[in-house]
Amino acid sequence: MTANDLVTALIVTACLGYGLCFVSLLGGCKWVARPLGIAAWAANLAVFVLNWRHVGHPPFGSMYQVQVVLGLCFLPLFLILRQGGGFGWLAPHFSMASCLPMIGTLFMERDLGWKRMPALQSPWFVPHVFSYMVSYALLTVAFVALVYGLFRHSFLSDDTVLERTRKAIYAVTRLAFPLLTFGLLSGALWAEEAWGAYWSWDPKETWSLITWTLYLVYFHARLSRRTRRYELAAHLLAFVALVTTFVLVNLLPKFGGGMHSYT
Amino acid sequence: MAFVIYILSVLVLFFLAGAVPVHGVPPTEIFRSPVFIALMGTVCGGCVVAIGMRRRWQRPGFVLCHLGVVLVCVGALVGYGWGKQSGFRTPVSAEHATDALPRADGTSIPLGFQLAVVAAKADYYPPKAYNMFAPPEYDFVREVAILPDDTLDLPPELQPAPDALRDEKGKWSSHTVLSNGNMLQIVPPTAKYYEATLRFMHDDAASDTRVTKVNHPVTYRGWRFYLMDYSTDPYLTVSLSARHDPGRLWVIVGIWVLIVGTAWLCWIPRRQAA
Repeated sequence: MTANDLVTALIVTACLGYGLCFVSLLGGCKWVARPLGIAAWAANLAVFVLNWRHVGHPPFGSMYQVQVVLGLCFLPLFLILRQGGGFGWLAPHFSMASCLPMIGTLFMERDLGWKRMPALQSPWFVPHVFSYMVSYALLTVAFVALVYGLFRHSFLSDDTVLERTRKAIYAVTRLAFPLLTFGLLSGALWAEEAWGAYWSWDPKETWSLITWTLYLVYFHARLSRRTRRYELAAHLLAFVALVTTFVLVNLLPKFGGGMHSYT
Repeated sequence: MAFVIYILSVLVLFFLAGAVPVHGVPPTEIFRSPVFIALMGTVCGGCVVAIGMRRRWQRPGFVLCHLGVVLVCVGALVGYGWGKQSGFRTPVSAEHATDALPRADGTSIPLGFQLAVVAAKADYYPPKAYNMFAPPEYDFVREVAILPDDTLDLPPELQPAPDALRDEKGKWSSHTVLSNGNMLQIVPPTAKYYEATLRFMHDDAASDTRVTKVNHPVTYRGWRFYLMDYSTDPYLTVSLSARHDPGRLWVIVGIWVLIVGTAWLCWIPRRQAA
């Protein structure tokens, strides 16, 4: 078995574990879901450790590596949120959200020999990527919860779920937004040190600013009764922009890689 | 609040207009247009108004967030209006000293001192992988990583002998053929490190020599010099970016104020914050 095969086996284990954990939670079988979730997270952690061992520094560089980190963020964040705010009912959304980036890694080039080019050898590298990954993880959960709440509201006319979902989305987004802000602005500080320009309007930067501004619209929309009807629409649009920033800008050559072409 | 949402929505539309490529290139000139600058001025003015509103000072997070935006906008405007910048390639030679930097429009910016790049060096990572190609057309199959134990990420039966991969000096061979006929071609190594030594000469002072690396710019008499790239073809040259930005400090302070303000506003409950 090659290192690549081992990583594939671990990723498949993580995907299956997270997926089955989600199904078990929806079916109300917490006693099955818990070991499945832990096993999936352990497999995810093993992929992260193997990546780190192979590249010799924090594996936050390529898209494949950051998605592995993203998958790893959900369980600890869920435990923090459950402890602090009674959001234990978000467990299925967290397990579903954990599964998505890991599925993505199955179709990505692993580039196990990836090395940090000089521009990435900066103290900003880990905090910039890590804060983005944690915020993306939380905002993905908020999105999954929003879709679930809207589904229940639209098809089952369950208004209580929508109100509870609104509150949960607000709490999760409040937790995520400062990290998203730090990711965005630490990138600007880093760019100033590396290239002498805080902002170059390259596609990844512009899309990250669109994402940030749309979450800002979401927060402002909540502030008055008149504008509250735009709140969920702004959140949905912001998540679409987030996916574009994180995935589409890199995958679609039409968008152009710009200064983030190595990610 | 509706007005704030309209303004932010228009801002998003501007960002979208500058992010979606036209003929393969995003039209980023839009961000230098007077309309966009006026819009940013409106955002900035809105933040000032928000800070000045009654009882807002009781919410430090709110004030810091909006103040951060104002400082960043003011710093960016000062840099845009009074800043100078240049990107240029220069040979590595003490004899090629310059006292002016070229602008994109063909004019030059006097430095007030002389600058020469007197030395440069680079280092590379060991090769990380081979590209595998399969006969008969030698189509690309996949990248085969070189593992930490210097073997290839291949099944044992395809593993080449160590002497087929490296010569006596330990240098990796550029090509090799596997037992199944597949060909391996080495992936060019990634640059690990490069630096340039700059010498500044001034009439009223002794020459000053400083080393710049990527992520480690050098500051001299208000100018910051950034090492962007280097080339050995046809002779050793380095690419430098130079910037004289009087708004830099404003932007940096604004960024940190915005980071702290956002964290305060979102993470500290309102009653506790007040």
